Amino acid sequence: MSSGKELGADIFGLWRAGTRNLPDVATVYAEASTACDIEPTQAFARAGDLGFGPHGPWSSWQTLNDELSSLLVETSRNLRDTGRALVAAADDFAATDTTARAEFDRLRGRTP
Amino acid sequence: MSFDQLAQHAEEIRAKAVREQLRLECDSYERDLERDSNYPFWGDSPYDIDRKVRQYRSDLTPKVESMFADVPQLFAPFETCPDPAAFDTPINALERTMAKLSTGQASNDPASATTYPANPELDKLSGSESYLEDWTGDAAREFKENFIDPFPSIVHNQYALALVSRHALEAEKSVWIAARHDIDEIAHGANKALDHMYDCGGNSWAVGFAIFSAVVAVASIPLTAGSSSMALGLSLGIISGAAGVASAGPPPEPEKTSFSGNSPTQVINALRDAIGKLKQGIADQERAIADTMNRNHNTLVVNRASFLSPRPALADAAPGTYTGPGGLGYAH
Repeated sequence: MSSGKELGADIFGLWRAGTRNLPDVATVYAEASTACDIEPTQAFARAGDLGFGPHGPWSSWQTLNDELSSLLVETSRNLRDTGRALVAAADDFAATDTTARAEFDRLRGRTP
Repeated sequence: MSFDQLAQHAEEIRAKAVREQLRLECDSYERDLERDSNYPFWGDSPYDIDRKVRQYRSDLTPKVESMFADVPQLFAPFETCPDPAAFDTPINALERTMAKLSTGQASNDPASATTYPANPELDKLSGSESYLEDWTGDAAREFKENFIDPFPSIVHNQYALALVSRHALEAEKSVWIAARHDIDEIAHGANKALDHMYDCGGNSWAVGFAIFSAVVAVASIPLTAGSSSMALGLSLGIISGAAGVASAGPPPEPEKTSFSGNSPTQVINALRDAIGKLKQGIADQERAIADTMNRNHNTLVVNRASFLSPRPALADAAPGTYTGPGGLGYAH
């Protein structure tokens, strides 16, 4: 079980993952989901009796695409919430050991 | 002749068919009158014949008009058919999603042979493993095993979904490019056939029906599982526009179907057949797109865990529980 400065470094790792790694990937997912959050209903629409129904294969396509969008939203939310939990955990652990806290603060202060 | 002038061409064809049919029938009637007359000894004078023919034409016109009244309606649905350019914006949107989710080599597009470079931001999740590997708690272990380790497979499978969604839009775009081409070719051919009904060889026209080769089912994209991205034995079907599919080579020259007629009635009947065949082709291609999307959706529903990692327990951990054995435990 680590303690002191070593624990401080481990806590810094949690904080780093929670403030940088996971949120950055969550942002990728948020952007990916925003991009595909589309409903091109009008592109498929036709007034006349033509093709596979009044909107062609739109409904089948939209169902799959909506699933894709929701998967990406959920992944983004999971990453973001886990990141927040790691940051909160880092604070909780730091509160248990003053030496670890000092090392954590020192490493965090050096982090751009 | 162009697609934008379709309504105008439809009216030209209708009017030409009416005019030619009236001319045929009136000429025949006039010949019969002339044959039965031996003016000035008996029968109708040229003046009488002319008068009778004009009356015959007047009486016959409503009937002939009704014979071809459906011609504008045959073309009307195509005047409001989808604009292929309208699919460009959603296609570009899905390409942005694919670029975000691309892990590089394994994420190449098997349909268009386009390579989407890896998004280095995604490496930050596996990069976080080193920060967590020394923590012993249940939640830390669960996050590593259930979220970080299978992430390469999950992101690949999500990318595959974006890819099949994007290519389905390419397929639909291709349907309407082909449909517009074909209806224009049919109108052009019918118009020309009406002009050359009595010419040997000039009263037939061939339609390539690009619609039947507009859409192709491309080799499916396999799904993966686990941290090693091993094959899962499942795949998503890709259907796309033939023109954008690299592996298929140039689209095959469509087999041409000939239509002919040596009377307005025959030409318009051939026109009806050609438009019917085109409409059937559109419906078949759109059904193929819908079927592929439905199969992919079924694969997604049945194998949802391959597309989404379970929500980490850490994400819902209550404040104050992070440091316990059910949370991150301790670092060693």
